[in-house]
Amino acid sequence: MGRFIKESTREYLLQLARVSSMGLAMVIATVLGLAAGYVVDRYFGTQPWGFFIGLGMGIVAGFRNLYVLYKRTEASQERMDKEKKQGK
Amino acid sequence: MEHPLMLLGLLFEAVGLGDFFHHYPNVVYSWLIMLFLMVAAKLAVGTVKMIPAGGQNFFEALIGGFEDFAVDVMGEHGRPYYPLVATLFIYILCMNWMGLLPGMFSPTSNINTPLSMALVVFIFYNFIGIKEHGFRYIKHFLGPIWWLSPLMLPIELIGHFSRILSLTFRLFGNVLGEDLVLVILFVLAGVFFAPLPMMFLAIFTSFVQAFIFSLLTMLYIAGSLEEAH
Repeated sequence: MGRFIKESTREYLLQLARVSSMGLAMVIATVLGLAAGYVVDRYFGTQPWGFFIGLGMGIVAGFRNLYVLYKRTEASQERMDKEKKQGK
Repeated sequence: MEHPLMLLGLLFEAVGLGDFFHHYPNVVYSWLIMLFLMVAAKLAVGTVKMIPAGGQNFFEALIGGFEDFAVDVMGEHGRPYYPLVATLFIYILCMNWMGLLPGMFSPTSNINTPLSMALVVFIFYNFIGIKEHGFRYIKHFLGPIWWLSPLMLPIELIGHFSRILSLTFRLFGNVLGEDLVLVILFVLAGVFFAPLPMMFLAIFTSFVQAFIFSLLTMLYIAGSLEEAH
């Protein structure tokens, strides 16, 4: 690592970490939003509203997580491509 | 899940703490790992020499290599924080690998152990963000456009809290699944050494899980160190 891992391998590992967290990040954000809405409903008695607003927030947060991860992965891929061209 | 045989359990029952052990085997086994790591570190670098030999060589290569890697990922600003990341990596790796020894048990296959570590990571990277940016750290939660910020705040908060759960569930699920596969293969065809090929795979997946946990910790710390977009 560092002195044992090459630069390209490091980028691949970072991409692995990001991409492997994509699925979990989306599902968990949705469920968290839903749970937060449900708890708000239980405490304030605003029956259907908290649930659906929380669900919507959760879904948006899930997709935002996906988008951020995708942006970061794309940037790292571009950096790798540039380095490859310079190497040749 | 009740593990078939736990060696430390016999020891604890002999002392009269069997009840405690059977309630919290994960705590007891993580104590064992802590003890092992402390003794190994003490033996290896108790007397630091100018020309390293044996254990000191190994630890210097491991920690030094990890420091280089962490600084590459987090940038020069992240150098003060790499001890946490390296500690988490070594600790999780030892815990994952311990489940492969007969009579032992992975503390990470109980959901409380990964959750405790994920909470430490969550609190730590937010603390770093507040320490680095002061009150302006809140800009990390407000999104790029100012008039959208009331909408972005809950969304970003959900995103940040989902990190705890995703760290927890990834580690817990992978290690528990690996242990269950080993146990099932052992019950089905233990006489023919059926779990053996799976164990080789498990060595690799344990390493990958420990590595990804520490890598994500680095990414989160790097994210809280950088300026808000």
